[in-house]
Amino acid sequence: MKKLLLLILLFVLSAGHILLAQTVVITGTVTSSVEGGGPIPGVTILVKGTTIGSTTDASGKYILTVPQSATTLIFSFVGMKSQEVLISGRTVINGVMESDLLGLNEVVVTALGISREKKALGYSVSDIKGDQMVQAKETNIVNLFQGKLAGVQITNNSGAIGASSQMLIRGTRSFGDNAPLWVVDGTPITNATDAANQWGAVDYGNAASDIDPENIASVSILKGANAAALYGSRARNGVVLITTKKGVKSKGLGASFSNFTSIEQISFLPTYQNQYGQGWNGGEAKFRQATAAGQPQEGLSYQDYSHDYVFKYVDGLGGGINDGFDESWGPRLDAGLHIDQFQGKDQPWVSHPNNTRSFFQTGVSATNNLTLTGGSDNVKGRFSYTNIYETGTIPNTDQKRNSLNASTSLKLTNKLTADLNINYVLTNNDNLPGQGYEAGNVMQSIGGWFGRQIDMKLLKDHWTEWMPNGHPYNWNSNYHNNPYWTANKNITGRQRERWFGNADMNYIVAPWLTLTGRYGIDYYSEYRKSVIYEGSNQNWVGTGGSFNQSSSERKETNVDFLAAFNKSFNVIKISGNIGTNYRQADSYNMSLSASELTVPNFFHISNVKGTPGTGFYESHYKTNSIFGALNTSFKDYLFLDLTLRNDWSSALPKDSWSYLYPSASMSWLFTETFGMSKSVLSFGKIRGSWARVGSDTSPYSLQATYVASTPFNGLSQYNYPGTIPPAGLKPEFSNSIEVGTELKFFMNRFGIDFSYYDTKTTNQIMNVDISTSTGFGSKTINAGEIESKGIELTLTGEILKSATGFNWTAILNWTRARSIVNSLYPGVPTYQLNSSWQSLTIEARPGEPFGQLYGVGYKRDTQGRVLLDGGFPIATDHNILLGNSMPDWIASINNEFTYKNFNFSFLVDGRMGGDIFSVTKWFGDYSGITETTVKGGIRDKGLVLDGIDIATNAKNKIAIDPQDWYGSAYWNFVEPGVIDGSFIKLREVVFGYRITLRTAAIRNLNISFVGRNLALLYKDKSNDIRIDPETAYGTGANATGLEQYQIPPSRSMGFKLSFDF
Amino acid sequence: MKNISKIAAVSIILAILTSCTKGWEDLNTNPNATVDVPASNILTFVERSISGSFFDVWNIGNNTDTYANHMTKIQYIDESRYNERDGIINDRWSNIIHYQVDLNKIIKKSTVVGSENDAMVGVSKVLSAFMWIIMTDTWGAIPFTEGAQGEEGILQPKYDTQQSVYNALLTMLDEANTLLASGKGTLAGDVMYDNDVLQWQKFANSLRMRVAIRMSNVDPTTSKSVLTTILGSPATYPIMIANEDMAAFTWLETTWREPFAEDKISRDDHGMCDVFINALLHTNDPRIGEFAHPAASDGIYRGIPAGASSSFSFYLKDISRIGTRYRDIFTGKTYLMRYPEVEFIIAESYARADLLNDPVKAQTAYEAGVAASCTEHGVSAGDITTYMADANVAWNGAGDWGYTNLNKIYYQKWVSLFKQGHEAWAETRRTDIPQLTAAPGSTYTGHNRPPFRWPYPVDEYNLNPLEPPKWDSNVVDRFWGDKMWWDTRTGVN
Repeated sequence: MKKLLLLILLFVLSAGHILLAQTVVITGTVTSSVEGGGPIPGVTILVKGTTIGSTTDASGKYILTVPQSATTLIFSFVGMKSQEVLISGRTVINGVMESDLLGLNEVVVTALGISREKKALGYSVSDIKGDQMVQAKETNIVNLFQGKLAGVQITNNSGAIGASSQMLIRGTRSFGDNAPLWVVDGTPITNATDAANQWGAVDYGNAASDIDPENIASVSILKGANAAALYGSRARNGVVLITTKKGVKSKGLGASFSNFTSIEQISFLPTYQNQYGQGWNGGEAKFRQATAAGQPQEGLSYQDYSHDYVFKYVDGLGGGINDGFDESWGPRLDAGLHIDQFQGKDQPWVSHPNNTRSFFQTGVSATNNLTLTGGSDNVKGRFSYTNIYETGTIPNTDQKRNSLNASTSLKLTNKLTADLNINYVLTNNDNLPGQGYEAGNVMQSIGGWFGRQIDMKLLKDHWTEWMPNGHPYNWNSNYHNNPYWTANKNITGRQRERWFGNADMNYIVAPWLTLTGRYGIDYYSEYRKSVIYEGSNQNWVGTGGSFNQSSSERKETNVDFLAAFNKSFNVIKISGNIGTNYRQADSYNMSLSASELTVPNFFHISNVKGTPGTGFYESHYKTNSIFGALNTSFKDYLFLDLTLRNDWSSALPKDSWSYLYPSASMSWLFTETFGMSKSVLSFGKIRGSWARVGSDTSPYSLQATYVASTPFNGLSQYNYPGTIPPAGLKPEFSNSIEVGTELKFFMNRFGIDFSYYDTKTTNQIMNVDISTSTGFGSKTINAGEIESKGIELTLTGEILKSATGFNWTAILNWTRARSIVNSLYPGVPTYQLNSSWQSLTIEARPGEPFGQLYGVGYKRDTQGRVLLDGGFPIATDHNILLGNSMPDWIASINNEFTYKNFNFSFLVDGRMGGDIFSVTKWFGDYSGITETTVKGGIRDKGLVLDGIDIATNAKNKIAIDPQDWYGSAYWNFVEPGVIDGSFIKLREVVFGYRITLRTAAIRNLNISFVGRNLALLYKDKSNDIRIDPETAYGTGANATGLEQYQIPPSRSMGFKLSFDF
Repeated sequence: MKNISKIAAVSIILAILTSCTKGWEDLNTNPNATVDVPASNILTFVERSISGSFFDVWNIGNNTDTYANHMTKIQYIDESRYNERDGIINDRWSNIIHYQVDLNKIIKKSTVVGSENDAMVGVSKVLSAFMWIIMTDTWGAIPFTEGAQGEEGILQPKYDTQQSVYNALLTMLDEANTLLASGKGTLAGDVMYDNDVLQWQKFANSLRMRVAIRMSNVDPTTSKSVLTTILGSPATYPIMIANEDMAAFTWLETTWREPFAEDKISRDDHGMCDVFINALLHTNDPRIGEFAHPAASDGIYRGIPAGASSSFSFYLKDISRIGTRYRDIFTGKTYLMRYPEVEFIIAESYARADLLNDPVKAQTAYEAGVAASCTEHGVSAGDITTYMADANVAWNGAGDWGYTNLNKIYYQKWVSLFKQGHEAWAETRRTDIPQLTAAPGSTYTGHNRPPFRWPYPVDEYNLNPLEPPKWDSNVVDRFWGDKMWWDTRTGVN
């Protein structure tokens, strides 16, 4: 720390001789050019080429102190044309802003928080203004980007409350982390994600959801490594750059309030059959076979056969007929049969088509925000408080969040300003639901194996009772919990307390030189506790219950110094900066667990039976960096940017922990160069860039350390790790090129923005699976090359336009991202990204696209026809290629209509391709609960599968019983579980009305209806199970392509009310 | 002046940044785990871990125990019908070789000049051989020579023939005996024999007899030589001579529980196979109450076919479940090798003309083996005498099964190997006694015996793609076709 203070001193001293430079105070009012538009609050006024700036207050007024040498001010605002105004010695400068959907002089925030004119950038940057972030409401900020930008793919991991979402910018470029870096006001903020995995866990969400959209002034998405070279390694997957709202000077107090209340309902469930209940051999064909002449059950009625041989409840543990079965190959429903289920008496054997659906409840989400702003010439402040209360669609799940944001800006002298930004966020969950393949996920029971004859109301009414068999009241005592028991007893609570923010000092050394020092922190502590009650399926009767609790802390500190300069020489302008970054990240985690308890259901570690489980983990990591950027422009139509950065990382070996990387980008406005007529092609830009980004690895990857297991009789147990550590690890490098063009037509009414990129990542640091014959499962290596290429296209259009009448604008985004593994490592034929049941693997093999699904499939002839033996498919001997988890393309269309004070918009987005192994379908077919297992009356008439009979070499005509196929041999084939994940969704609808009241009490009243995730408009026909194709576990490269009993997605509809007062 | 101060500032910044890496190697030293541990704690791990991961329901209860027709799955019958999960196949393969890495670490630590510990090396070799036997008997050709050397850079090890593995194991166990006898070093961390070196020596030689007898039909010369050596010099080659000598791992009441008892907490998937129960009933076997519970419904011992067909209907309450000592006790045992097996190996050696050929000694050993197994199961001396008089049990007795004395040895060995699925499956493949049939509900039709082998792991096909295809050309339906080198049965498929 001392060294850093020294560093500040150095900056000050080295610039000491120009401390006396003069400044000027400029004031003014900014109004709208639209008739009756009046003053505009929140307009940004910047001194060109610097970070010196201000914003207009509630009455459109601003005050700005500028160096005497400042020549130009830039006025910018959402949806308005930015304009440059020469100061020319004036001290009062008023601005008139013109509406400009596709502004030529648009200003965007780029790396290090520096505002740049978009036209000068040689790489692709997308931006979203703050009001678009609060138009529709999502408590997880990541979801707000869904369908809004080309090149950005958002995947909701599940419909559970608090669940994480993953963001991929330009697809997958690495075997490891592909998540973008989040930066708020110049300070990196972790988006650490603790999502469920397929084998079951709780999804604790992603940490960026602590960012309150109400505080956002604008968001810039830097897509490529090109755009992000100045943030270093962590920015190689793109950067989400957030600028928060700040206080403005005003006469009195500026206050605004908003409320958003919505209801959340599950939007759709898998398609289940409603014709047959639980049991085995219960279909009509099986019945006829068993009761035919000469058979043991000869002559029995369907009632007697079903009751005595197919399903009869006695104790639910196998004491009756198949009463421990959770599969649905039982007797026909609604056929007048009477069979005991789990109530100790025979009852009508009837279907309950809504049994799964009826478990879910309507969730409520309420968000209230109060914002106060105010300020004088020298002191400005903004204070915001948001309270969120949500309940989930699964009973007894919730999330509460209180967010406080305070920002102040002090002008200490005419040259020195100090800004302080603090966020405090407290998130509480009384219960988060389990997910994946585990008894704690209600969907495993009621969505994957649930008898179609079960009356959910019975489970709801009696869940607190115990059955004579010693188990809680339930439909099946062998493998499942009553879903109400799960929701009410086996709960996971969480509390996260987070602080993040930064303190900045800005000093104007000279008209051409500004110094900035920034200290940013991001800290959270999180407490979690999961309990499982005695009698639950997870731990069974007599164990007393179990629990797991943990507390963790994560802290990251960033200290930056930046010197920004700016000079003009005739037609050549030069600006740039030199800076340093010091970063330290520390984390601590401790956990205690008990798998059995002495006193039942007393969840305290003092009550553990046996040895408590313990976890104790800490991690420390530092990086130092030095960087610089040089931006030059020629005649305002040719721009060249160069950057250079060197990082030192503590996670790498000493001889390779320092690494240097450059970037270059260029932008050329050809329409300006040649002074072309603007009536058709109004604006044309060609851009290109090249960048190299180096990156390190996670701490402690260099050595093999023994793995400890719980001591045996007091003896510690150690075994050698299953991963071979790397020798002589080097940093990995990504080399990217990007070319693109921006074209605007008919006086900017229509626009095209096109990008092509190609990134090659070499020397990747990765853990590859190796043959376990080596004694190890994986090896950390430094090799291989992944190439990701893509195309991004945005079309914008003001289709209808009139000053006060009907306006229609549309934006279309289209993205294609492809990653290919060019090479791996000698002796490593494939990289396994993930695996699932029956050795289904998701792999990256050299020469093949990333994300290939391999598994056992149907044996086919040379024409690709399925071969059948006796009516049954034949399994391939080994895994074959079954699909690819990467989408072919993703796209979205947003339409916005305005008429006077009304506005209406809808967003449709979708994805084509992207295969998924759906366990809900695969096991659903196996368990006989899906529509597939009954359609066409196949349990009565038999099933003739499509294919070639190997005996006759002709089209198969042999009918088999669906139970003998789906309920048995089907399990050996994973191919039928692979579905095409294409979809189109009606993502968002907003209908709003704005009332501009001039009364003193309430102004600017807005009311809008907002609907999110309203409908699945299209899905592929292979997705006959109708799962939500948007599904993922976690955020890594391996997160997609697997679905396992997903919590149904939720549809949200609500009203937003906001006003200023 | 201006420029000089700028240059100075930049160079000072650079100097500061580079000096800021001081202490970074310490910073990047993992505080959560250690790079070195005592050999004894690795030994504790290996003993506990192999006793769990090779003898739980996934590795014997679901498959080898049912292939040997001791047990069967009664719910989710898949594995008993040879629908094995690929993950289980991958795990058995990878676990065996990973334990070899652990044992190699013990050996390395125990051969450091100045602190040699022959006892630790000997024990490591015994455990190593124990696992290689299971591995080769499951797959045949395995990466014995080149395996477990990932750290040495062999990423795609070649496989060795089963014959060469068997010969190497004989040598390895001989070395173990010599090391254990050397008196150099003491054991620590041994929770199986409580650091008793002599017991390990007995286990080493008994295990060597297991290897020798298995290969006796294909290489009787080598078998004979090994058995002659061991039985001829008990002072140099001590073997198990009482039930107390058994190689067994005893589990704890909490946390580390006997795997079948742990499974019983949440699952009810296993019951008795009809072949085993019927044989025990037919001979009035006094051990039946130890092996099995009578059916809950009527108190009768009743098994069902291993891997019953899906049309075979039964009530769970009508089936005998696994007996108390084998499934109901947390502090139960995992049996790596038991004393009666040694007596049956001796009996076979003497009973066979091509081996040691001494029928009198054969009978003595046979009867000692039967008695020892009965005693182990708490049978009284009187009941043992009664049982031994049964015509199907008695030496030279003319039972209705028509068993020769040698067949009786095989039969009794099969009974005594209950819940030692790997060995019981291997021996039924070698002896064909009792003669078993494939599961009625088999996924693969047309076979007249339980599986001959396991398919190579999917991971090997993916990650070591040149090796499995070299060895699987005769494989039929994943589990048949390619017999073990020592499997000389004919007419089986």
